[in-house]
Amino acid sequence: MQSSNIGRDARGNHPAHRSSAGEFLDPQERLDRLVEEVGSAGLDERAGRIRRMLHARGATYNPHDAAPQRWRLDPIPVVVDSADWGVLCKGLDQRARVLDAVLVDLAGPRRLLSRGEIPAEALWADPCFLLPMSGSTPTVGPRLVSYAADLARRPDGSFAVLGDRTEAPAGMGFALQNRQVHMAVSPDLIGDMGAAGLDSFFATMRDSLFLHAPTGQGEPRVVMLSPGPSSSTYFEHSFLARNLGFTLVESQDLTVRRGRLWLRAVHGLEPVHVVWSQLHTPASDPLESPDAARSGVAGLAECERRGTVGIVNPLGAGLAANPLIGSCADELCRVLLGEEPLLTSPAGWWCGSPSERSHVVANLDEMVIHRIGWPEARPLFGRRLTSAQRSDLHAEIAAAPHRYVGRREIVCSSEKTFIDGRIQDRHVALTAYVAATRRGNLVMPGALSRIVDDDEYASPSSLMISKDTWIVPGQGGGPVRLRRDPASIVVLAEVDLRASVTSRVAESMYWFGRNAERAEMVLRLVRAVETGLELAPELADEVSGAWLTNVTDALDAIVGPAPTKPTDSGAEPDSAVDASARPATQIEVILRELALGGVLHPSIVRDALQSTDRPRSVASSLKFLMASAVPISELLSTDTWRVLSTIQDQAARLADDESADARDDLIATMLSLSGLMNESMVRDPGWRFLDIGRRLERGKLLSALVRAMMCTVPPEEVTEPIHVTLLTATESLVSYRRRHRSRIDAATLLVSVLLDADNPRAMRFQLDRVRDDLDALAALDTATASAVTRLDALVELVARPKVAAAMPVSDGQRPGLSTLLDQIDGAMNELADTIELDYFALVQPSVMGGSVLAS
Amino acid sequence: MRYRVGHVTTYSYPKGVTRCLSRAHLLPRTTPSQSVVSRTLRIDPVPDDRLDRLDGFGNTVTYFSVERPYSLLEVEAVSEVELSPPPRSATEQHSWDATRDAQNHPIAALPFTIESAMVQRTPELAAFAAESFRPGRSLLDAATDLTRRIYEDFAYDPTFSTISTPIAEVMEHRRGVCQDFAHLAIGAMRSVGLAARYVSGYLETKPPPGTPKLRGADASHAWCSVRLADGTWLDLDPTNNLVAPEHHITVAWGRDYREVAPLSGIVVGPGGPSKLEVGVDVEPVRR
Repeated sequence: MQSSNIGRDARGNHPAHRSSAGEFLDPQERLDRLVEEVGSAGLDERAGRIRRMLHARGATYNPHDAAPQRWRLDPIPVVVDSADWGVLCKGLDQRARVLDAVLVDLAGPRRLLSRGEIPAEALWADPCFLLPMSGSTPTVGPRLVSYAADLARRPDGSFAVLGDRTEAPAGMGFALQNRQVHMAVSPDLIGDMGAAGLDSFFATMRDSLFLHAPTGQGEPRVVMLSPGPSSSTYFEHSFLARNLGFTLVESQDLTVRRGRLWLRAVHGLEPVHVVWSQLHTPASDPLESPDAARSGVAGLAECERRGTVGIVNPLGAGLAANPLIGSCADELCRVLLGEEPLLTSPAGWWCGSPSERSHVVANLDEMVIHRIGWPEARPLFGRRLTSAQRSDLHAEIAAAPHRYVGRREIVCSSEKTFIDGRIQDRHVALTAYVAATRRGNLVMPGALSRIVDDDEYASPSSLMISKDTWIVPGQGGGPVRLRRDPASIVVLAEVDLRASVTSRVAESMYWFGRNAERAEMVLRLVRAVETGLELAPELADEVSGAWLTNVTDALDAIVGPAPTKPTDSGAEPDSAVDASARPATQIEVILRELALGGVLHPSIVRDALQSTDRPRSVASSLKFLMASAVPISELLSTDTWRVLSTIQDQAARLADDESADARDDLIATMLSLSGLMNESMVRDPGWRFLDIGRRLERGKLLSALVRAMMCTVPPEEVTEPIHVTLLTATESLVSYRRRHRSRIDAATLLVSVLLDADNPRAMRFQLDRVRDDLDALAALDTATASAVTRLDALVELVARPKVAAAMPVSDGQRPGLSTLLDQIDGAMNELADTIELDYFALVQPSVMGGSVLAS
Repeated sequence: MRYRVGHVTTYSYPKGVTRCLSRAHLLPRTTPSQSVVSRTLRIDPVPDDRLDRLDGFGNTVTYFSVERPYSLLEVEAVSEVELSPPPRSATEQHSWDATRDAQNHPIAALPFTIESAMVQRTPELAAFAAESFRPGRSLLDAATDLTRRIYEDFAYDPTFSTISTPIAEVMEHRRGVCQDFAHLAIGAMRSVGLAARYVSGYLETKPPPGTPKLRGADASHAWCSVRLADGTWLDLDPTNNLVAPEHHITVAWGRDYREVAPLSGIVVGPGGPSKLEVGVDVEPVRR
């Protein structure tokens, strides 16, 4: 951290603000100088730290129809002189007011349409215009609460508006994320440049959301409504929810009862007053548009009309982002506000008018073609089209001319960017964010910038490389400081939100716990097998490999069978030699490898670690673990994310590095995950479900292990090694040895792994913890009676007399033990089913059958 | 002529459902040739929440929810309407192309000129329309001809379509039900630049002696309207080959079926089969 007051001159200016000749440097020159000081090696090092931090935070975006990609951030920011920014802010405020006035008019009198200022066809083609529901929407207060503008910087320091975002402007959270990363990686640059901070903006934005609660609502509840993990910007939704302290919900978490909106929490329904919605309007409410049958909340629009809930932005606000409105914004500004427009925006021509359409077609090279009605459609750049694409476009326009708007292309400014180890110039577009607050529109003093060389006007959801954007004091202007409006600060009375865990989150927590436990158990068992072999290599062939058969069978049982593939008779001759299909061969392979002195990597071990065909292999469990982490990401700490990222990396490495060290590393990381779960998580209901998942899974795996290793009585010589392996795998060997000095005896062993209430790996211990969890949930008025009954039944089975009765051997088997384990498994499954049904069952609504038409 | 309309919709769920949230377009609106004498909507079980309001087209829409378990939902609309012969405008004799070129659609009519969720404008539909809409022909003649062609060239087949059959499929298989034929006519007329809307309503159940029973008389019916140069609308019923029908009872109109479906919504419950029964009875009221 180099930033300090030392070295500043009397005016508080850092020496970097002046050149050696003493003249005042503009912000770009200052940044260039500082970046030069950092140097290529320094930038490279910072780029690496940025990459690692973003990775550890799980920062991704999901391009449409493609795998999630990691968020990328350039180490060099875009800097904007605060004087230029001040001018822009006035312009953005004005533009937000114009668009707000447009929305107010369209929701009510529609004078703009009747006077012909906006051609109505272009709006009616917009799916945001839910015509059947319009005409009755309340118009109190600003309709445009959150607004964003895509901008191009021009050589004179001014900005041009490339497009407006009025529905659920994406990127604000990514901008905050970028800043947090830069604060950690380049505090020196931020300090020296005097970049304006973003925190006040977000605090004010947060305060403002509460203003949209229905009047008289003393303790408003705000939720962030996301389309879910498939959304391109899901990471951002969860990031913002976490940073601003709102519950992240998906449609199925919400329900409408008696004209009001409620959150489905594990213990019942809780009222919701404000929805910060990231849904596209036509996907918001199946009652208003059938396309929303799977994505929306039935009745949401009716709640908004009745004023029982505030939606930010209101349904239909996306209409103001219609490219046609953007093209007429200058005129609308004069008509609606009586002001001269402060921001320039590229001239536009609407193809619904024959003369404008011929202009667009004749000047296609200079045009960016915007399409109305396809929210995902990106603008087309005329000059980039092939002749075939051109004729396609002409035909498309001819078929529905009212859906096309041509706007003159604006070239974005070039900014210095660190790519491939050197500084290069890249074209960059910015997105600036505006929030309507009690005191008017507030512009975020920063922006999300992104490189648009390959994909001009790339939206935040199609981003390639992002840049942080710093508003810095210039020659004339001072630093930009935002203060949180004390009058708007929302101080909520202490509410116990612990119970407000949605059923969906509870379910994800539960599976998170189960999958973490599975992965850990398989790793432990593999290690126990290896340890056994290291200590006594002769085990491999003692009594014809009885030990090896026993332990590999146990591993096989735990990771579960690969799904049997339908075999076309003789179609795949290769599959006949698939080792995993023939256990006998497996052992042969193991023995051969051992005999040859090779490393122990029989296919079952490899399968147990890496095969995604095996349902409970380490690879499968970790895949499910990551999937269940996504919906609960706002509940996981940064440390947890870092650990999860490490787990992912280490698991990927297992394929290349089959050494025991690689596996030990992974086990150690899994243990730190357990540690975080136990030591860093509040015991809220979410944690209770995580713990229940973990305990039930441990119990189930323990039962499978005992079944595989104990039900058949092995030859005398290998009995002890098998017992040792079982105790090692369940981490009970040390405690066993401390209590029982003698040779390990089957009955004592079973008491130790099943009944010992003090052994955290024993069955009984798991059941006691599940009881604690259910008790804690019951304290929050959650219906658990049926789960407790199931648990009682299970506890009765895990008892000394039952285990003692299960020991007798007949014909080399322990039939009593098999029966007891069957009963335990059955009772455990019933308990799991009851919990899953009582707490998680999210009922998917179905569409009422259409009314029969006669005819 | 006064009619009494009874429209009962019954959903039964043998396994029961826990709740529903619905939107109904079942209360008839007033039109230039129809006045509403009385109208009621009875819902059983009694809804926990119900609100009637006007939608963006001026139709009455009813939102209701039943928020406790039930296995039978009965929605009954009973209305009395007074029909007078639809006023005929001289502008129906204007050529259809002059009507199109007049471009005098007020704001309220513009949505009926462009595509909507279930009705696209396509070159195929334009070509289909062109056989009837020949240059210079009067709008009445052209629309009458289109109505007749759909009636004659398309098979009326209640087994063929679902509530969301795309027009292209109806075109390809040349069969469908009233809703499909209405969508087809609307798409054809919008494709040549006219304003056309979807109308949902009823027909007389038992026609006067000596006249044939019309198709679609036992449930709700659908037809369409085309806008004339003076802003009045001319009803066309391609399912029954009728132009400006005098005994059609209008409930609601919109851009297409989706916007004015008699009943739509969501139901939450254990799933399983559900049974839907609809009974419509339209009787003249003798005074």
